[in-house]
Amino acid sequence: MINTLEIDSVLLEFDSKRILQDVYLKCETGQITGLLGRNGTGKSCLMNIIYGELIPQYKSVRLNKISLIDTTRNPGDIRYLPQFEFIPNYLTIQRIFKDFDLDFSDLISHFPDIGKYYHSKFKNLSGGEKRIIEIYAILASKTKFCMLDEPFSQIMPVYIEPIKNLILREKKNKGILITDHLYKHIVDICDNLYVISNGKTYLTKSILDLKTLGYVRSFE
Amino acid sequence: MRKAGLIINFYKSYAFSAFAISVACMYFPFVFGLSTFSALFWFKIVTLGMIFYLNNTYKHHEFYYYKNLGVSKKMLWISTLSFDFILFISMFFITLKLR
Repeated sequence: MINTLEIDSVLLEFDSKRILQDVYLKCETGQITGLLGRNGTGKSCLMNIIYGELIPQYKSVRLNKISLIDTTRNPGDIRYLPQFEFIPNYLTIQRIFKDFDLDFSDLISHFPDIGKYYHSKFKNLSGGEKRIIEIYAILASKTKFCMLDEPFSQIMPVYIEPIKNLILREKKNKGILITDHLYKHIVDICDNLYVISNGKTYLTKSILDLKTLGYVRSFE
Repeated sequence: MRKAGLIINFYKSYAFSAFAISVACMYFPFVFGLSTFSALFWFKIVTLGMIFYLNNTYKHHEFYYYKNLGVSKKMLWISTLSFDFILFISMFFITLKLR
């Protein structure tokens, strides 16, 4: 079944400063939707609005045409990887995998170095290792949609490709909304690419639009 | 059951400090009796308020973990604070019986 997540009619202001005003974004099962924008343009705010953690002046978030009005979100519908560390340090990796109903051997097949930590507490991992656990927990668990806010930050280069492969594998079962300033990785894997500029979302038709919309100055 | 396990995990993150405060408070009913109830009642409320404030300030990122698993911040606080307060009241009256 193809599930659809849509958001529009967003008005977000902080102290009369308008952040988002003319937004339309659509994400579907089997698609990776990229979201780019300069710092402070409201990418994370938009994800938080979709997840019900930020209440704007107006919004319409719809899952399969049904409005998500309150702030609760069913984890079977949508999960969110925020850009900061969110897993409590006192939990063990074993506990985290049990909570998310995940298979640790599958993680090891992508990230062999993490295998030794199964019985360790989350606080004993390095920043990058923690991030891999967080990405995997959100990405591989059962849900219709997942939103990834800066998944490639803090990750060592050798693990970027396995993460991209994991994202491509998981898109078969869910819709993925992803944002990161390492935009080349986003461009590589996404099916649709939106850019936020001046509070509005623009669906790009080619990579050249990134320059037109002021996200990049040149392509190296 | 899974939600209960998550709530217990969250409670464990501040249970030690909350329980230590409750145990320390029991000295007063043991020595001075029922007359200390009102003061201790408000003292416990204030300390739970401080625990609530400190967790919401310094550990607010962790609520995303529980929300990603279907347990809201409101549910976490209502259930754990209620449990801790009921535990405190129970300990108070048990202490009075043991005098």
